Amino acid sequence: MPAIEQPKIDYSAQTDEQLVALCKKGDELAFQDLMNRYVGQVFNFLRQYTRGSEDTEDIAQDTFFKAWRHIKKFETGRQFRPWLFTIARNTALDFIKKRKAVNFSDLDDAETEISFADTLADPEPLPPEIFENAELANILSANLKLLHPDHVAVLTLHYREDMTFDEIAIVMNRPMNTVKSWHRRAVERLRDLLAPHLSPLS
Amino acid sequence: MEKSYKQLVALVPRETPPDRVCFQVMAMIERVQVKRCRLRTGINATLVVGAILVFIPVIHYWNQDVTQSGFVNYLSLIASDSGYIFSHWQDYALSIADSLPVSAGIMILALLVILANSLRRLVQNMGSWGLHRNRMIREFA
Repeated sequence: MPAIEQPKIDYSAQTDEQLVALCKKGDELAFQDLMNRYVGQVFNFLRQYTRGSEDTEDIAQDTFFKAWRHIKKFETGRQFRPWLFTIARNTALDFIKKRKAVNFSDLDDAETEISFADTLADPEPLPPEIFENAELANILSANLKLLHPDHVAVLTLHYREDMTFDEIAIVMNRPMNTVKSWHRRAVERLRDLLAPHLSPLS
Repeated sequence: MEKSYKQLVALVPRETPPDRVCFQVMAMIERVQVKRCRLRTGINATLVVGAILVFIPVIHYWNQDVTQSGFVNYLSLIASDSGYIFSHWQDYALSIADSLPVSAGIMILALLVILANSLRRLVQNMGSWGLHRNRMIREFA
């Protein structure tokens, strides 16, 4: 059983994988540093995923606690960030299912099919004027809540956390094509939802 | 397209998670560590006590075995008739090997290993228990 007191290590200079290796040896300070690195990203991801649920804090706590408990099972060579976000998503799903706060059932089956829309060309970029709309942040936040949580997750992870579709596929535990399909649908739906706010500008 | 949607998603304000999130996680970890150390200390203390208790009949058994097999008598020859041993060292070595109390010896060795290991772990766990408990009281009480 390793003691808490560790020789002085510059944790901030370590990579995630190096910190994970230290965590596996029982270094809690290394875990604390990992948590500090990702608590913001995970918290904001969960806030989007649970549509701003008041449980976000609890889910974030549970996520990191689970990560600590299972860190010894983390395989060397894997990336830490997708692994952590997978735990976050699964924990959020457990909470949602318990609370039945979000109804997934109506979308779950359809989500894995690739629709006709997926075969079309990439959606158009947004007009630059849209970003001058000060109200847009509020409108966007409200409209994101209308999307399926998995679609929001794809948007958040791809555009905000700069994850590749490969990494997102790991997090969502789905094939990459499904993730790409979700992304396309999310973008199109978002564009449709924002259309009334876009037309006066574009 | 990529850039404009990136800009769009960036419009959603990022919230800073409250400090209590990390604080609570570390407190939960400390609580689990204290619990684990307490459990391990209990298990190792039981093993130490158990090994000591089992040691008594095993020593008795070893003593009996040593006396009955004539091992002590062979050993005493070293002091009383060392000249004979040097001249017939091969016979002597065979006889002493034959009279070795093997089963009792293995039992004693196994018990010694268990005892030493349990003692080492007991000391380590007690140390960790103290450290985690102090940290919990100091930082998370």
